[in-house]
Amino acid sequence: MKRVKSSGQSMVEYLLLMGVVITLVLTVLNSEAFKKLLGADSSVFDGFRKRIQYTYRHGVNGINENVNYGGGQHDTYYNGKTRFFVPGAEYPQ
Amino acid sequence: MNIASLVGKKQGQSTIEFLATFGIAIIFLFIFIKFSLNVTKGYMIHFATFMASRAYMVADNFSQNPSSTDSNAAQIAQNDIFKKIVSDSSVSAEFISPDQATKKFFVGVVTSFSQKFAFSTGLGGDKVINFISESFLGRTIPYSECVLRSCAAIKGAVPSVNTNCNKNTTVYDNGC
Repeated sequence: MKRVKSSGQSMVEYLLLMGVVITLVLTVLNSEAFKKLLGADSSVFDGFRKRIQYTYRHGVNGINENVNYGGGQHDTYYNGKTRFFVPGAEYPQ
Repeated sequence: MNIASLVGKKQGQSTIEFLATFGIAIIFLFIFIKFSLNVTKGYMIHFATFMASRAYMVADNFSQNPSSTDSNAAQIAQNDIFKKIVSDSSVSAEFISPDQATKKFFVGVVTSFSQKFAFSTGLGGDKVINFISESFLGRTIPYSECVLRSCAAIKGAVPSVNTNCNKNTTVYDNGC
């Protein structure tokens, strides 16, 4: 009985496995979830970007982008509490 | 190439691992390089805005009209200070004069500029980052304002005086 050679088996398995791996990688890269996480519309980097914008402008950690000059509101000076140096409590009389 | 002869050998493992991790490291390195370039430019513009605001606060061309004095001060602060520090012609300071400000404590200089957030849109997003520098030092009282105030004080104190306020007059403690 003539024995069948198996020298090409590993190569075929390698190619099949590579096909599966590449398919999986492309599926992940093209998925909406991945694009939202790290793609062009990345929510992670968008949050990072907004936080840098706010921190650069106001010198304090935050994310609010709305500053209303007309209303006299400005987070650099007052954001729920004053950012000026003031006494923590009234001096005793 | 005999694939079977390669199976079981591990000489290439470290190279593949190195390339895989090096690629990721390079991507993050470029994100932080871009971030550093953005904030470096930003802090220089912070400084230029502050210096322009200082010049805008005190510049006075001794005209008779406060509005023209304000616009002249803005021109001096823009051309002689801000543009000397920031060479990028696409970035300009905006000046909020006492006449324009809805709240008088927002008199000063505002500079807005945009940068790409990352080198690659694939990693880092395709949105721009908007930097805003502000310095609200206000405006000191210009010579023309003093003239108007002094004139009004004289006319108010002595209504019978018919003056067109073309003489140098100092009213005590009027801020001028």
